[in-house]
Amino acid sequence: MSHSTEILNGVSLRSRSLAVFAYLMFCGIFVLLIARLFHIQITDHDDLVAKARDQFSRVEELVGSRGRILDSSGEMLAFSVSAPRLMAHPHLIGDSSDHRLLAQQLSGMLGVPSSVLLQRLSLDYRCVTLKTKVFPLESVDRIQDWIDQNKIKGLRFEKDEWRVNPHGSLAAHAIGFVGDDNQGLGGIELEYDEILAGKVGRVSFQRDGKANRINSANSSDLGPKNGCDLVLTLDPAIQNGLEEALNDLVKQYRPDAAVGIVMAPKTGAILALSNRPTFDLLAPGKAKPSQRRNRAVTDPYEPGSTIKPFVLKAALEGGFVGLSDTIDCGSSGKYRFGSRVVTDVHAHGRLTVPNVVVKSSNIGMAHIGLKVGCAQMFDEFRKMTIGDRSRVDLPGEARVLLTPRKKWTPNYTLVSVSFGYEIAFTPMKLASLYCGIANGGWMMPPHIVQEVLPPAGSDLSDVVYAGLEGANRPEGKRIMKYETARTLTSILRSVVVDGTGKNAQVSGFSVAGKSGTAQRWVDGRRDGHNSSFVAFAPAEDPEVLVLVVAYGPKGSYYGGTVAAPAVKKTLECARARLEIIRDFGILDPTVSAIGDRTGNRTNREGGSSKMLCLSIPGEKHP
Amino acid sequence: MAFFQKTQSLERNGGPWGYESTWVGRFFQPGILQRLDFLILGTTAVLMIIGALFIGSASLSDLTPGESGLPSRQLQWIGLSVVVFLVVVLVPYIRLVRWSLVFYLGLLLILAYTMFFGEMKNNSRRWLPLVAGFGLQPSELAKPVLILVLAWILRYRHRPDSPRGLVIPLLMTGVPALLVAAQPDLATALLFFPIPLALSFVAGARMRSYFFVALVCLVALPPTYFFGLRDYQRDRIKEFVVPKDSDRMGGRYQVEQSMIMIGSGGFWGKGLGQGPQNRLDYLPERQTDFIFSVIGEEWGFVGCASVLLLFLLLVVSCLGVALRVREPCGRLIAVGVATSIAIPVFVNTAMTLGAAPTTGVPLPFLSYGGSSLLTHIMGIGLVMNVNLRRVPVLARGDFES
Repeated sequence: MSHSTEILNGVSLRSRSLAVFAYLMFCGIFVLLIARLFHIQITDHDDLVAKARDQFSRVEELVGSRGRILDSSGEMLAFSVSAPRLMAHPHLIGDSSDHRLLAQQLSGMLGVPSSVLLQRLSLDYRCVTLKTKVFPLESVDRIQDWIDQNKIKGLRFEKDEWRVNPHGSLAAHAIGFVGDDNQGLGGIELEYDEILAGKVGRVSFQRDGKANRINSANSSDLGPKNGCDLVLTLDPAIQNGLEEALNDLVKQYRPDAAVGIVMAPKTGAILALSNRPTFDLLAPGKAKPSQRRNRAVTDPYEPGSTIKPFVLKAALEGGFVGLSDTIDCGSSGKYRFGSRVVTDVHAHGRLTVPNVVVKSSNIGMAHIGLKVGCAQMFDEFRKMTIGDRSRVDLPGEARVLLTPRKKWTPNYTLVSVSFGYEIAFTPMKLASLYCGIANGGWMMPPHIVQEVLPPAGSDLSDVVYAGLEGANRPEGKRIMKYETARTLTSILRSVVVDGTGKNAQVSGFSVAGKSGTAQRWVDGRRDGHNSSFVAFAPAEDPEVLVLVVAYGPKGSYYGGTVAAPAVKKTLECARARLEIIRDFGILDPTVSAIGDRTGNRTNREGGSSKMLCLSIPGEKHP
Repeated sequence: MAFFQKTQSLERNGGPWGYESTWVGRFFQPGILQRLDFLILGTTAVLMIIGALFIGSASLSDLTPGESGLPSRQLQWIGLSVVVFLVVVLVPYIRLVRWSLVFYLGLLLILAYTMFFGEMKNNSRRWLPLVAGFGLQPSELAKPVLILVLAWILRYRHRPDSPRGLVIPLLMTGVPALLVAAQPDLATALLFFPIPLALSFVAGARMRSYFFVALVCLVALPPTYFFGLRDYQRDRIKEFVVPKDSDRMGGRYQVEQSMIMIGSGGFWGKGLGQGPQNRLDYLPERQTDFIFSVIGEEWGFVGCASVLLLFLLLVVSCLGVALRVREPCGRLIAVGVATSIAIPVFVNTAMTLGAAPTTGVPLPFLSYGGSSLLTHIMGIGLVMNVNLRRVPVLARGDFES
């Protein structure tokens, strides 16, 4: 190494220690890398495996088709049609210029402005919804063909359904509506959501890094189950009659709200249910909450005079008064009970006990109530289940507002309750109580679902079910003696013949009924009246019961004036309907109509459907 | 040719090796092959075989048929690399060093050519297309040329312990680095610089020169970051320093997927070709820059650690050659090759382990790609070359004297 031309004379300038230092640095970095490797592969192993599984192992939930809602004649009130959702994976489609192009191309086919589509595509998500509920199916096919032909990546349809209510606002509050995710949000749709929705199925699959789907069936996978169809007790003709009657009432008296209920007293079946104001089921989102309110079950009100038959029942069955007794209702129409004054509309003088109800004398009823006494009256109310909810199968039922037993005072609570104040329950509760009078003393829980039809290929035992259908429905309960019920019926018949309910007379149809007019409390002060009328017919063997309540009518406010005509119209309609049913017999065309529409639904027993609402399960009645 | 004559005197005197008696023998000396270092050779071969296996595994895909031609093409590259290896081994390295300036100028020409006429891929011109779909990345081939030319300069032209210190070697590196950075391929360009730093260190540059260079870098860093980098480069650095979960499409996505792959491999791995993340195509570029992630998923900690140990063995063997050889050029070449292998291994594996920013640096011998393979085979060839032609050392102790 002694060449003079070499500038570097051997590599001897570095000390051994520096060389060793460099050497160790190399080795040290390798050790660090292996430490890092250990950390990721051993320490973090479980987390990262879970992360890996999360991204490639997917479970898709398959939702079955939502069941239909049919009225008692088999007409569809709500059904679902397939209306898939168009999803997009923006990063698979391409960059922003591809997005712009796609948005322009899809805009026409979807009927959505391209700017809206572009905005959705520009979101920094793996997957965005371009349009929900693409309908009809032809347009879905057209878009799918277009996707296939142009080999567009990153667009796919996801199964979805669109709920259709062909009758708009008919029985809107009873049927209810669903949200965008097809979850029931009101009425039957909410109460029976689980049964209508069916069971969610699961399909597991793998997804690769480019969002392609790779099927890998799993043993835990279950197919979806379609939801059950529900047959309601609603009768289309009677429902229409009630809707028209309420329309007329609203037009004439412009109340803040109105409720109409038609029931079959012998079974507790709800034949028609209507509320005003109402809303269009096809656009529930546009309705105000006040329009969507099903006042028949959500709003307790003070029933006024309509409670009088039940007070009389307590007095009669307890032996406190006899039918031939007379009550002094005063000659001035005013009577002082302790420190309060009760007034009648007219001065009645002495009245027989039945006439107290027929003339609807508050003073007379107060006297009868005082004879019964606080303890006995409260007890009778409890026996008549007045304090309980009606247990109707509709969501959101309000409880009965009744002064607790300990706070009852004779001159205030007892006197007030005797003519229907200091107690409040829902129209549905009142209607079901009157059913008790009409059917000879049985409290039949009101219900609106007549039958559950399981989807093809399964039977009812497969259905998770609350137990309200048919035989599983709560038993009827006797709330008064048969004789008392008949007596009260005859008194109520007199109310219509020559009392406050003359406006509810239907020629050739023996109607029994009772009017109710109660002052309304709004925000702690008196403001207008609640006018109601409840009637059933024929009095000898009641088949149908109608209750109409008008909240805050303008012009007149007597129940016999405002509500009775609407009841009459509904009864006329119901009578025509009953005649048709009688003429065609119990096995009516509706059974085959259901069979025809559903096609494959032949597994249920024919014939049991229609008359369930009207006929009597014999053993429950004397 | 004045500077050539100076080096020729060494050979006329017989030099330390003295094989050449004929003209051909001056360039090709097959007789020395019997003295090959089989540890280095074997390690390299094992790494290349593992690489080919996992390139095959990475082309498996459950749904999208991947580029199934990749493994066989890699085998063709391996075949070519054997030829290149033999050529590099058989020509005495001192001749290669002597011609290194010519190689260097040629390299600059090719890099300049690539800048303007290279094949456009992913917004940069890095490729020179050759026959039948084979292409070369001249930026990769720059490394052995740099090693040779720096060895030549440090040996014959420049005193690294002079006050100018590292300036000349760094400038020599800076010219091709600039050309590569302009492609743009910043990571590859930056990875040139460990070579002059290491060679100057071995050649005896002063430590204060290193401090000076470090100072200049520190001062130059902020303006470079804000004005010298392209947006995507800045983004990658930002992603690394402040990872954002929301940014799932960018480079962070690859690193995240890479860590998931490696982590889910566990201790033993899932078996060659059995990794679900691999087969489900979650990690783009896994046959090239992210081959280590595939190894991690399918061979687990055992496989990854083994690969790293193989690299360590290779690097240590090269440094061992540097220790044993007493001729300065040979020592510089061996250190240069060890550096040029170790640095990409560090950068690449650290990237797949989420410990370094995302860069397009392949893993030597394992990643798919001919340029990287040829480059590192040339390096191994040079080390072999040096090792075969060293004068046997009978006693230690020469190093620090």
